[in-house]
Amino acid sequence: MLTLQGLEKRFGALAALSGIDLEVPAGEILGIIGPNGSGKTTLLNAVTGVYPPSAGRIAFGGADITGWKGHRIARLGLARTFQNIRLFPTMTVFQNVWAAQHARTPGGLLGLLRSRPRPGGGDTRRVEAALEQVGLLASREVLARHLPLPARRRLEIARALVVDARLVLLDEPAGGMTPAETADMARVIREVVAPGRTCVVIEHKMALITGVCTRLCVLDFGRKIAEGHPDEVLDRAEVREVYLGGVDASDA
Amino acid sequence: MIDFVQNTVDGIMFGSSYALLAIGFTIVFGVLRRINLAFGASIMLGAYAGTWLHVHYQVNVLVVALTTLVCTVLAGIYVERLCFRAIRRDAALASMVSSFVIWMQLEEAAVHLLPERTYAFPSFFVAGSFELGPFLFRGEQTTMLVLAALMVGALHLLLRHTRFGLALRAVSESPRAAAYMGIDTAWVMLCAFALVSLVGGVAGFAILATDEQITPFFGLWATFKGLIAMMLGGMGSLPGAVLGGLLLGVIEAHAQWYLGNEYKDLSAYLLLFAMLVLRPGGILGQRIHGREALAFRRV
Repeated sequence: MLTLQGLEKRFGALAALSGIDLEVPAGEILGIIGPNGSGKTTLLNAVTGVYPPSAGRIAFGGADITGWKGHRIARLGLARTFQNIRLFPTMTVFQNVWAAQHARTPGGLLGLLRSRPRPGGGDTRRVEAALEQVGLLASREVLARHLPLPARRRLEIARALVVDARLVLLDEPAGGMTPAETADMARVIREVVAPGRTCVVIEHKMALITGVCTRLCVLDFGRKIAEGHPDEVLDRAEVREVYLGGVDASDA
Repeated sequence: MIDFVQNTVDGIMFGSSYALLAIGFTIVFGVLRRINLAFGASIMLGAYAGTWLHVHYQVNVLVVALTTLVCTVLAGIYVERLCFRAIRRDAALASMVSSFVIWMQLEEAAVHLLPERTYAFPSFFVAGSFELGPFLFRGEQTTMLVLAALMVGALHLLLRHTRFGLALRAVSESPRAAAYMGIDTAWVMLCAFALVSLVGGVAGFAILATDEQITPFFGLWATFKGLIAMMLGGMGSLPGAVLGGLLLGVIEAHAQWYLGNEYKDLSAYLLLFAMLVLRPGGILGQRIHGREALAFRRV
């Protein structure tokens, strides 16, 4: 589904990513962990077209998307959420997901002049279904900026659901959440996002990683230092040293 | 009393073109949080192109109108490419200064096209002047009002009921997130600039067809009137721009009648000054408490 070959990203003299090879097969939930500044978000940004990679190739669903703009990649069926949540703050919950319908219409001048999705039409039912799945249907008329943090993250996920994304990239979906909220997010990822889709999850919280991921990749200083089944990877000495600093995985 | 009503009517009619100018500023401000100082100059260049055809080839007024609109839109796209292309909100000052530089450039180009001080502009009206009781309705001004009402209606439909309106709002709230909804933010911005230039072109044409002359000060004049009307109504608010434009027209008409011609512009500046002191967000803008109040006011 997603293939990275020799991916490299430099900011001036700093090599944020170097020589990343990664293969994400369809249906997998891949976790990416690593200390702060290890290149996790840079990796996500490069894949989603925020900036072009300095070297290497990115292929998504058979198409070479290296250097593509974000909106073109999105139209291929790739959705993401953001570490610092990016909603449309003065739109309602419903409108936020509704706006995401845009991805499903053709571009160009004529596409823009087409009428908005009508209330009560098929588009509305799709939006409501997505809100229902993440448990936000009851707050559909609330302004996005008035939502509490866990609901904002679920709203970002609902936007990804409604565009029929084949690949969903989640950037710290449980960032700033309590253990109970984290467990709830893990359930949403497992039961709502994962079925029928491929996921890549960046996260610090081990509870979420071990709870949802089928495979784990560890970054350190922009390099991949380990990859494999979560339990096995977290047991490796070099991973424990670099990332967990000797702390037991279940405490983190 | 009859004078008062007549002045108010005249003010509303002429103010309708101020409203269009204000809309041009307010839509760009609402989406980009920036002021496009080159707006008046791009309208002026468009109108100069139309006037050039009129002066040299004596073309029909409708050809002048079409040329004005097309060239204003092209100038608007040029400004967008040069000053506002990349959506980098932190570079607000740089883009404002560069739009000022482009203003000078466009004005220079217009003056090269037609170097004399004043040129005649063809007049345009659909219906002639008519009287309604004691009140006189000038043909040019009723035409202006009708044109402005049509533009505002069309804009309302476009912004509230099409995917373009939805996309524009999404880009104004979060360009990054909009891109991941599959919205081509650069294309939407270009369309927005073309759109406001079209609105500005209509306003410029209607004003010039009423004045029946054009001078090199038109760009400056249009920028000032549009900015003042926008600030009166509330920055970034579409109804505010309409209200501010009409209010400015009415105030100017009364000042001109009761105080004399030389107080017409002065009264507008005084009004703006009073508004900035008493209610800095404008009539329909929110009262400003910190940066947030302004930042959340959207088109």
